[in-house]
Amino acid sequence: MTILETKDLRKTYGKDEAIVHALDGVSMKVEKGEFISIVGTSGSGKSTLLHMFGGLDRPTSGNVIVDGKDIFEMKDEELVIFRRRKVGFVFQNYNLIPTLNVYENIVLPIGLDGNTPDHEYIDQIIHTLGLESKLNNLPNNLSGGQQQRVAIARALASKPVIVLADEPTGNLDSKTSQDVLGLLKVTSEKFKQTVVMITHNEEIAQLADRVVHIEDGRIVGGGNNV
Amino acid sequence: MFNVNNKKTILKLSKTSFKSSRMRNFFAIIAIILTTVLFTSFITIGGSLISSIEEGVMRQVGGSYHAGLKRLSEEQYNQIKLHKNIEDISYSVILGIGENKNLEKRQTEIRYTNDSKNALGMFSMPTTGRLPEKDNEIATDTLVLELLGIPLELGQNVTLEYSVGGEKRINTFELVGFWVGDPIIPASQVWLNRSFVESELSSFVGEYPNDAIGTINANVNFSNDYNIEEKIVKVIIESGYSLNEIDYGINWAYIDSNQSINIFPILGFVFMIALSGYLMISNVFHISVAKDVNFFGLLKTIGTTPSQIRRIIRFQAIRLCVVGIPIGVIIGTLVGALLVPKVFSVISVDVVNVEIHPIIFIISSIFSIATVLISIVKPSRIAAHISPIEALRSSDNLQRNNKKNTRPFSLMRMAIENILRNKKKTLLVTISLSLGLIILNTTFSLANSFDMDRFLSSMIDSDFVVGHDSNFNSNSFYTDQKTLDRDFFDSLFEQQGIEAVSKIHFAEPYGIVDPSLSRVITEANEKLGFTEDRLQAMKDQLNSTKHPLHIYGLDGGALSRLSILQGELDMEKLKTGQYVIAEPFDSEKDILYYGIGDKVLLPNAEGVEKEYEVIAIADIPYNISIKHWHSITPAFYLPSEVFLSQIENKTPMLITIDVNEQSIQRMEAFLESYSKTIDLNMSYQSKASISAEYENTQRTYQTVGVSLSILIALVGIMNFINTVITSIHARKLELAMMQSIGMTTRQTRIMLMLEGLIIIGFALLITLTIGSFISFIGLNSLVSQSSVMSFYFTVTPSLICTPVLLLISVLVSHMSQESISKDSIVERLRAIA
Repeated sequence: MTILETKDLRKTYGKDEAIVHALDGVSMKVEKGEFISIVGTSGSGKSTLLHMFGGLDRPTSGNVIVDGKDIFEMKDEELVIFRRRKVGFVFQNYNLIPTLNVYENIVLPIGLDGNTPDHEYIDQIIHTLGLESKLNNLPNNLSGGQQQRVAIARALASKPVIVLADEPTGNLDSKTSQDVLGLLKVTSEKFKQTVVMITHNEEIAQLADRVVHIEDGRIVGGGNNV
Repeated sequence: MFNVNNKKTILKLSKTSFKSSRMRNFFAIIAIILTTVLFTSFITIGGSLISSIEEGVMRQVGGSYHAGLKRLSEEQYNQIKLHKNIEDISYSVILGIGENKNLEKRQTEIRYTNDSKNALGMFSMPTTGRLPEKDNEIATDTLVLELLGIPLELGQNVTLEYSVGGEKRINTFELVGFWVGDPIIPASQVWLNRSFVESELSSFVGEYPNDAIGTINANVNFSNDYNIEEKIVKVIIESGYSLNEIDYGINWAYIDSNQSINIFPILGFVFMIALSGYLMISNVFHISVAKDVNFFGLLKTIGTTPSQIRRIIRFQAIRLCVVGIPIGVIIGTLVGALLVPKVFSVISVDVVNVEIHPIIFIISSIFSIATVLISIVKPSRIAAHISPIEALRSSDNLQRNNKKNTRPFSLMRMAIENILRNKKKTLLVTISLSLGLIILNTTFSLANSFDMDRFLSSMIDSDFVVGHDSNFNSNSFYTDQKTLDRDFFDSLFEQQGIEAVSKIHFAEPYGIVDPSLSRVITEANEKLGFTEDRLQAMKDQLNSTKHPLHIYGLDGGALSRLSILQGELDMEKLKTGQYVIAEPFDSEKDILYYGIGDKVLLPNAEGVEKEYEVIAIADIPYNISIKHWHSITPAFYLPSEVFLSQIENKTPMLITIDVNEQSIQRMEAFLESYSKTIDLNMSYQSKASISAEYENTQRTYQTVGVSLSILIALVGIMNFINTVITSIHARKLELAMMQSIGMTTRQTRIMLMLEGLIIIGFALLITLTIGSFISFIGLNSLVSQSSVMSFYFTVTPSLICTPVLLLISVLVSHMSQESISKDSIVERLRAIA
């Protein structure tokens, strides 16, 4: 079952001679339960692509279909609500709310949606990520690896259809990177999550089920099932 | 210690970081401008007040000179004028008093002077024309010319009657100068030429050694008005004379004006202004330091010392002052100039003299700079002690501990958390907002504390009070012979609608004072603590053989208005002419001149004394009393019949008139036309005009108070706006991130609005609790000292302001959110990475 599909996705910045093609006709599919990584150098367009997947940025042309819906047919507010229900984000710089403790950060998207968290499920995530002893800590009192684990927990908490990770290990040392990625992989398997991760690090990328290479806004390898 | 290069570098750093904080600069300048406006307008009002009171007193005294020397001989004058401490000295010589029939109503002194400075110092310098230079020339004021019926034109003939040594002289002169006469100055001057006056006086000088006529009256100015008495005494003694030989007088304008201003309310107000300025400026810098924490951290890592960082911030603050203070001074002067007439009408100072003086600019600038420098102390200290490592992890909540709170999510809770992130900032904003509201409430309460009934009864308790002008105008010369004309009563009783007329007769004979009254002085001094001068004056008065007594003869209506403190108002006994009611020394009746049963000797108009027994102690309402006192003035009240038969048969000094409702306007019209056309010396007060005055007073208190509280409230609101905007901008990232994980724009907007509303809620809470407590105590102490106020307290003005504040809060948070939402989420998120 295809959970995410893009059709001839284009994004351009600027005009005329100064035109920059951040995305130049990207078409790809992601199947449910897949863990894929998108690899490219900086400026290759991988971040733009990820932002498109999550509805953070609108394309110049083309479609993004998530869970059977063309997300750019939605209005901004609808998109936000779609995002908080269907998409979980993990950012390079964790993006935790400094005033909320670990537990509150994890359940924040659920709270924003006006729902009560599924405690059993949340507890499982917390247990898997080894955060039980940190629940009352504020983000500033955690190490980078711990913060990223909280961000992963937050991304999974609302049971999204897809988790998007933007250089999740970019700020971590290699040992911690391995730990965090291992956890990301384990949890996504355990909770049957689809994960799209972007990275510039080939070694990390190899942990994924499939590696998609992107250069100058075009897929140059790994997008073979289109 | 530090070299020039270092200073240059610091300046450069200061400049670059200065330019990057536009918003901080904007709000800081607004704060500095508002603070300076408050200081300048306040000092302008205060300064104008002092100088106007001073000038008002000078006009009553009739001169602006520091001191006067009387009855000098030419030799004495020539000796004294050489003294080195004298800045300038000039003199005049009196020929006599104008005796024309038309001049009876105005004391007119005929003089010559050796120097135009002397005429200036006596407010009697011709503004049209000049001083006389030939023997047939004359200069005088418009009051004299009008009384004599002479047109206000140079070249007119002026005929003057006067006496020299009892011999009547009539001479005609040519008018060569005049100026606008001031009725408040006790006498008008007529200037003649020196040689003419000297020839007129040639045969009489020396015959009147104790009289002012023909002797030199010198007016002296020193370099400043500090301690004038000491200076003039020094001049006399060092010139080789004794104080017995030479009589001196001090212009009490220079003594009185400085004492009549109470320093504590002024200090309190200056403190309030400084506090409101401090709250905002300090907050602006706190916020900017928190924002630039990375910058300061970086400076620290590359070896900038804490004192250098402090200097960077101080440079910036001073640059902001350079822009803000001049603007503030200009606006403040305008505000002050607008408010001065308002303030003056309240405290019935009638000389409007808006003081615009460089010293005001300097003082308010100094106050403002001081406020700014104090305000940046703490923020600079924080910036100076930022550790480079912490700076990298910086965020608003560096100091916070973990929290065990896991209650369900709500936007409200997030908003509260956000506000509590920086408790100090929140507190500063809240207090600064409350300050404006508290002052607003206090002002309104104060204005409403004026009790119309108490005010009126203290001023007037009948429809009209009529009397000689000297009873109403404390500046005009007064004797107990200035009574109402019999003709007036004939006209009065022709009027319709009169319900009651009460007559107040009055005599001020000199009697022999019972030496036992020295006990009163001792008691009063223990209780009230007189100044040395006052005490001496009272003792001198007791020791003198002649001593003024106040004796009232009151109609039944007026007698019944006395407030009886002891004994009874026994009309039967009083009418026998054997008994009298006595006044206590002070209104609290603790100190009595005489007790019930004491015998007193009261003289009649011929000086024949008769013994009366005191049967009651009572006080007379202010509005029907004689408003002139000596240091010790025992007063006695008799029924009118007894007064007229046993003391003096004369027309009343004052009368009170009550008329029926329909006749009030007619009576007012009658009194007005009578006092303006028939008897110019007659004057009156009406309940209607006093209640209009009351309303005017109340309105003025409101205008002035509200203007000042609006300014202070503006500081608070600016502070609030700045805080909201900067806190939203500082969280640009965080908000973008919240949106990336699913917070809708609506939710963000609600959360931000809640933050603003909570601060306003806190401010209201402080205003209503602590603020009310403070204004309550303040008002209470003011009201209890005042005879015309009843306690009134309201918080309505702050509640009325609430919707406005809420609206501002909603608008500001909405607009700042809009402005940060201009960038897409991606752009905002990228900005962090």
